[in-house]
Amino acid sequence: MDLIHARSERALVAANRQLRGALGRQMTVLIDALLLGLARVEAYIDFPDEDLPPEDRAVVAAQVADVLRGTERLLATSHYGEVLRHGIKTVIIGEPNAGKSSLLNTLVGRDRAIVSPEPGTTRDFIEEVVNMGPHCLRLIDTAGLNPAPGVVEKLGIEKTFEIAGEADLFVVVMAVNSPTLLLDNVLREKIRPENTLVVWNKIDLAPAPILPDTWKGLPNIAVSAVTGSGLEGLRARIIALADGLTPTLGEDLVAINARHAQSLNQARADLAAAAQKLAAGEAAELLASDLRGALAALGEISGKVDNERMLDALFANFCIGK
Amino acid sequence: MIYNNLPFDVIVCGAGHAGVEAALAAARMGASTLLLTGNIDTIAQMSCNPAIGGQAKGQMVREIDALGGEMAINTDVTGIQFRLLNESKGAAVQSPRAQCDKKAYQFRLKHTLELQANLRVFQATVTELVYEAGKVVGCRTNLDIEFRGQTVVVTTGTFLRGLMHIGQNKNEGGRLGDFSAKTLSASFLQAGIELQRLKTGTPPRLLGRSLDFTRMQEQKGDERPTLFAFHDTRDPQDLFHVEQTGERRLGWQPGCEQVSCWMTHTTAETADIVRRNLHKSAMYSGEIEGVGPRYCPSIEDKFVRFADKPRHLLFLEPEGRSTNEFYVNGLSTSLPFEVQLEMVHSIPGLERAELLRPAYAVEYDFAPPTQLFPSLESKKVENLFFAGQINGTSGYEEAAAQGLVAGVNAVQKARGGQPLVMQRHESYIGVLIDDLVTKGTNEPYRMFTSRAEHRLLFNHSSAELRLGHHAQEHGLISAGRSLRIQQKRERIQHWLTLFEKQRIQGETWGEKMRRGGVGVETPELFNQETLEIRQEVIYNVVYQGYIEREHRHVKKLSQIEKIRLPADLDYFAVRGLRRECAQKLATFKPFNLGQASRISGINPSDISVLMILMESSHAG
Repeated sequence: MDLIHARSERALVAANRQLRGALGRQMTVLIDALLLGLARVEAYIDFPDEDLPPEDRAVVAAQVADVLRGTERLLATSHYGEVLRHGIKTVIIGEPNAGKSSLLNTLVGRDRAIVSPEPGTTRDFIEEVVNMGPHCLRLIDTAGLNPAPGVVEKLGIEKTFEIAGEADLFVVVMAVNSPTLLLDNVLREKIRPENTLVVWNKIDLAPAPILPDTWKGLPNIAVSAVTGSGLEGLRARIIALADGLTPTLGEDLVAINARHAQSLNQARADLAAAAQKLAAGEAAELLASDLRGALAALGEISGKVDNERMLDALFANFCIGK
Repeated sequence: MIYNNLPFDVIVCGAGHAGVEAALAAARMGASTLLLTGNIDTIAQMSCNPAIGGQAKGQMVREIDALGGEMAINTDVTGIQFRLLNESKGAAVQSPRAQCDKKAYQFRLKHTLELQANLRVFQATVTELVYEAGKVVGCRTNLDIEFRGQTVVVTTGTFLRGLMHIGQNKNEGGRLGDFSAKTLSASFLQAGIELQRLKTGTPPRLLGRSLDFTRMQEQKGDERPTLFAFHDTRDPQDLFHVEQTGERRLGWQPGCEQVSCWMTHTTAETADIVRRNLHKSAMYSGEIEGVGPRYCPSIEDKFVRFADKPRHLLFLEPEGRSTNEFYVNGLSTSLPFEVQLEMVHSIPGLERAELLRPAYAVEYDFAPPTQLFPSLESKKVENLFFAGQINGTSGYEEAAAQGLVAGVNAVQKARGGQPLVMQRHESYIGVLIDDLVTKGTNEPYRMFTSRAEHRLLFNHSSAELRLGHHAQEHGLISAGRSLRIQQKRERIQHWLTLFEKQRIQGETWGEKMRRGGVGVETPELFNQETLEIRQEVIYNVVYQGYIEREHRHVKKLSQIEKIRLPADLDYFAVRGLRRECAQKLATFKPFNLGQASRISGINPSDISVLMILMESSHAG
C-alpha cells in the first residue's frame, strides 16, 4: 500500500528498505531486550524457591529504559513516514497581494491558483503536490495576512495560522514594495532558519530591501514571479531546506505507518507504566503485566511473541531446577 | 476372552495421577467406568518428588478441586508439610505447595477408587487397543482378557516403551522396579498416531539415619497451612469418607502434623566429580535420544551450562512419616552408580549417606498433542482420549488436570454431549490444554504462571468461582456444594458492591483499601466472614484496576474465541487464504478462530480472511 503511494524517489527507497526488514531488525532488537527484562522479572515470580541470585531491579529498570528509548526513537520516525508518504507540508504565507498564488503556480508549473491584482483573492486553500529534486512537497497556498482584515478575511487568517501551525516548511512571501508581515506568536516561534525561506517578490518593481530585525538570520531570496528572475535559485533553496528536514537514509532508517505508530504508542504507555512501578518498587506481577502488555503491542508490528521466547531467555540466563 | 458384551462407557488405561482423576470424574458423572492398571499397588504413585503444588501447579490443583477432582483433598489429608510460595507477592502469584506422605497418598487414593460407585478397578497391562471402523472399541491385556468400551482414555505416563538409564546401564521399564508397555506403541502407530521420545530424570533416594542433619539447614512448613481443597464449600463427608489412620483421630485436621525438609548444597568437589565423569553420563554420551526438560536439568547439565555457579542448592524431602527414605531434590542425574555414590558423599551432611535407590533417567514415547482436539480426543481415532505424560507434559498436577478433563469428555462423547473446553482466561487448565493441542511441545511441558496471559485473574482462591459453573453443568460436584459456591459468590459480590459505595471519612472503603493495601482496617461485619471470602474480596478490591484491565483484554479477545470453525471446512477453497496457511489449517482443524490465531505461522491477515468468511456464511 505504502509502495503505491510513494510519491518520490526518497519515499520509494524508504518503503523498499522497510519492506526489506529495517523495521523488522529494529523490532527484533527491541523485543529481545524486552524479553530479557521480562525474563528477569518472571524468574522471581515463577521460581521463588530456586537458588537465584538476589533480585536486581536496577538491571531491569535499565533494560526497560533502553526499550522505552528505542520505542520513542521509532515513534519519532512516524512523522518522517508521514512526510514520505504525503509530502513535506509547505505553507506559503504572506500579506494579501504579495504574490503567493503566482509563486505557487510557478512552482507547480501551471495555473492552479486564481491570480488577480485584487488583494485577498485566495480564501480557500489550494494544495498541490510537487516533486522537487528528490523530495515530495505538499504546497499550500493560504489566505493573505491582511493587517486590517474584514470579517470574512478574519476567518481566512485564523485558518491560515491553524494550517501553518502544522507545517514543516514555510515560504514567507513579501512584496518588495510592502516589506511587512504580522504573524501570531505561535507562528513566530515556529519559524526558524532551518525551516523558513523568505521570498522577496516583485523585484521587477524595486530592489530587495534589507531584512528587518525581526527576520534576522532567515535565508532569503529575491525573485520575480512575473519575469521569472531568481526562480531557479528559489527551487534550489527549497530543496536545500527539505534536505535538512529529512535525515539521510541510513541502513537503519525506517518510516513507520499509522498502524505501527498506534502499537508503538501502546508499548510506550506500558513501558512508561512499568518504569514507574520499578521506581516505586511495586509488585513483580503487576510490573510483569505492564511489560507483557508492551511485548504484545510490539508483537502487533512484527508478529506475536510467543511466551516460549521469554522462557528461552529465562532458562538461558538463570539456573533453574533444583 | 471378551470380558463384557455390554461396553463400559469409559475405559481408563493407567492409574497414575491422570488415570485416577479420569476414572473418578467419569464414575462421578454416573458413567460405567473401568480403570485398568499394570499394578494396583502403585496407583497414584509419586514417581519423582513426594510433593504436590508449587508455582502455577498449586493453583491448578485448586482448579482440579473446583471441578470435583480428588488431588487437592488427597494432598490435604496426606500432606506432611505445607508452604505458601510467594507469600510476599500478590495473591495472583501465591501458590500452595505440600510435601506428601507418598504411601499414604497412594493408599488413600486407592481406597477412594475402591469405594467409588460406577467404578471398577482391575489389574492388567493393556497390550493393544481394539479398533473397529476407525474408532476405538476396547483394549486387550496381557492376561488375554479383552475389555469393551465406548470410549478409551489412555494415560501411559513414562511406561510407553520406557527405558531407564544409569550411566551405560539400561533397563526397560517406566519406573525403577516396574515394567514397560512395549506393545501398545504399535497400536498407536497402526492407527496413524505419530510418536516421539522424551526424557526425564529423578535423583537418588537416601536413608535418613545415614544423614547428618546438623550440617544442613532446616526448612519448616507454614504455621498456618494453606490447604488445596475448598473445605468451606465441600461436603463434610468428602474429608472423612475414607478410613485412614489419623483422619478420624480427635482433633486431627489437615496439616496439623508437619515435618521439615533440609537444605544443603553441592561443593567444589561435587563439581569436580561431575566434570571428570561427564562422558559416563547417559545424557552426555549420546545414549539418550529423548529431550529433557530445561526447568529440571540434571546435575551434570547444571555444572555444564552454568559453569561459573560455584554450588547448587539441594533439598532433602522426606518421603513419608512411616519411612526413613529421603528424596534429594536437585540431584537428578544419569551418571553411573559408582559416580553417584562419590558425588553424594561430597555433599555436606551426606558424607556417609546410604543410597536406597539410585538416580536414573527415563526415556519414553509420547504422542505429540497437536494430534488432539481441545477435548483431548484423538483427531485420528474417534472415542480415543489421551491424558498426562503421553501428551508430552510433566508433573502430577498437569497430568491430573488433563485426566479429569479427558474423563469428563469421554463420558460426554459416550453420551453425545458437549465437551468441557475451558478457555485460556478461565483457568490454568484451559491454558495447559490449549497450549498442548495448539502449539505442541518439544520438552516435557510444565505449567508456569507466565504461560497464562491472564494470570492476574488466576489467584488460587478464586478457582471455585471461576470454574464452579463447569463443575455444576457436568455433574462433577454435589448440589449442596454448588449451592454453597453460589452463596459464597453472593457474599463476595455483596461486599464488593458495598466497598465501592459506602463512604467512610470522605472516601469509599474501596479507595481506602487501595490506598492502604492489604492490611487496611475493614468493617467489623466483614471481619466476621470466612477467611476465603475475605481474601477474595480484598484481592478484588485492592487489585481492582488491574483485574478490570484483564477483563477488558479478555473481552477484546473473546470475540474470535466464539467464532467456531467447522471441522469439514475446505480451507483450500477459501479465497484470499495463503496456500501454506490453508495447508496448516487443514492439517490442524482448529476448533475456533481463537485457536487458529495461536497456531504458529498463521498471520492476523489470515484470521481476517476467515473472520469475514465465517461472518458472511452466518449472514447467508
